[in-house]
Amino acid sequence: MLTVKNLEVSYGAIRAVHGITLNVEAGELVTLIGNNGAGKTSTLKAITGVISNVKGSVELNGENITKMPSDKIAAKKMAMVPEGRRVFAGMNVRENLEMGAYLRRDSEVQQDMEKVFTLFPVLKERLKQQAGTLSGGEQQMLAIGRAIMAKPQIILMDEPSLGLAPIVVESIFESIKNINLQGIPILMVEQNVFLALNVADRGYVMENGVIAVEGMSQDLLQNEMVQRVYLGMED
Amino acid sequence: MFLQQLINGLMLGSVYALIALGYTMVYGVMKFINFAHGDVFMWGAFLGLLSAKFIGPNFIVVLLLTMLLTGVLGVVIERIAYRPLRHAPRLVVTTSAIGMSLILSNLARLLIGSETYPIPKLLAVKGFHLGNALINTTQILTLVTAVVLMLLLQWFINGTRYGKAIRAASEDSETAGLMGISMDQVVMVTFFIGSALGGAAGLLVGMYYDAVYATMGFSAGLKAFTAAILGGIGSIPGAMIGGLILGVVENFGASVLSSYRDGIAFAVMILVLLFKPGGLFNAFIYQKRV
Ligand SMILES: Nc1ncnc2c1ncn2[C@@H]1O[C@H](COP(=O)(O)OP(=O)(O)OP(=O)(O)O)[C@@H](O)[C@H]1O
Ligand SMILES: [Mg+2]
Repeated sequence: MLTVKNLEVSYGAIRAVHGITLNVEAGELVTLIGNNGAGKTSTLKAITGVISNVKGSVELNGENITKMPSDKIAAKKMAMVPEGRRVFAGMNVRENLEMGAYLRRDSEVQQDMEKVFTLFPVLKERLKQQAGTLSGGEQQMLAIGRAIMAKPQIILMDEPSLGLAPIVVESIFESIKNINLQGIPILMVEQNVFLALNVADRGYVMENGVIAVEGMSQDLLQNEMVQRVYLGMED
Repeated sequence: MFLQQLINGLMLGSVYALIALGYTMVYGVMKFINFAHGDVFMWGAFLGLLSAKFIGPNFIVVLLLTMLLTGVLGVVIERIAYRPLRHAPRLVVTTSAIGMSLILSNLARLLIGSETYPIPKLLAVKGFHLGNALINTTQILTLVTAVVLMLLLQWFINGTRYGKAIRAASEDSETAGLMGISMDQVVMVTFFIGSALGGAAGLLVGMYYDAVYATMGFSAGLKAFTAAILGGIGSIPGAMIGGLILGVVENFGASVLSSYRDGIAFAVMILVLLFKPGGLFNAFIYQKRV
């Protein structure tokens, strides 16, 4: 589905990602975890074409999409839930969802909006509200709903739990799992390692721009280094 | 007297508003001041003059042709002067805009000279009494045209797919790209519309004063820019309201201090920048980031 090989990302002369390789297969929920500054956002931005100073290759269903501009990549049906949500604050909830479906010309847009409302009923109540005035959790739901509206082949999410209360985080993760169970593969960047590994099938642990460990979620949860560094367990 | 000043002010203001929209829309999408826009307005007046000569007395067709030609001029300017600098710092783009402004105004002086040209009559001028104020058909036409164009713009921006894409791109171009919105397209449509509105204003001003000349873009451009700042640069309703307010204030001000007419607009600009730098409708009020 999504195959990333030897991806390097640089900002000017500074390199943030030093050649990482990862993949997401059909139906999978994969998490990319790591501390602040590990290079997770840089990786997602390189995959979605937001940054172009990259080396290595990104393939979507066998098609090379490396260095394509982000609007062309969106047309390949890759959707992104950016770090910090980035809803269009001056537009209302409905308009934000419409923007997610910007490239669609089919007749099922309205139906998919109903699906988003089933997943996040609060959005339906807030249809006319300016997105900038929603709570953090509602904005996160809107950002995820907006991605669903693209009818994507795959969704990339950057820290959907950022800045949310623990109880909201759990419900957001539950929704993400639901979306994935409906057949959409997801690559989710997270710092909430325990919860992320609990919903994900597989995980990659990123440190200083490289993949330090990878494996099935239950194995990573048992991994001694992961337990010590990311789950704060002492032995 | 009051009513007369109000009518004159609203009429002038509606033209400022049309021009101000070009500044504010381009700023919204690209975050730089297109200092060549006043010259686009002036070229719009000349294109209006040519259209009027070519088409004859049919205001609607002349207006549409003027807007089409001026819109294309704006798109061409963007291709030449701004697109190659899309990722350059804003100061560089602004400098390019000033260069473009010099080229356009000097080109006008070269091609057109320093004469003042009348615009062929597109409709019979008749005067009416409205209470104790006098209003003529050109004034009514100017006001009605400006208001209709602004309503159309509001509908386009809020009600159509491209319009919403422009709003999304103005707020957050990176995220708009992730939605599949092409920045090149957004910028092109923005320049076309902004310049077409400037062209319409050029035609209206030319008709009202029955005069078109190569330097007419300078003070109108600066005043419209002031109107955009007053309304809150980047805000479309702001540019409309800002233009109307500026027109009215300028007219009332000039009736008291007639020799300071042009100074009034800049006094307004200074006051806005001192006391309400975001303008009346701060377009970026929601743009706080986590
Ligand atoms: N625009 C930029 N210019 C220069 N350096 C940058 C830029 N964006 C990121 N970096 C650097 O790249 C490195 C990786 O940053 P990145 O945002 O990818 O980390 P992250 O893993 O997403 O961190 P966080 O969990 O805090 O979001 C950091 O050292 C950061 O300072
Ligand atoms: Mg990050």
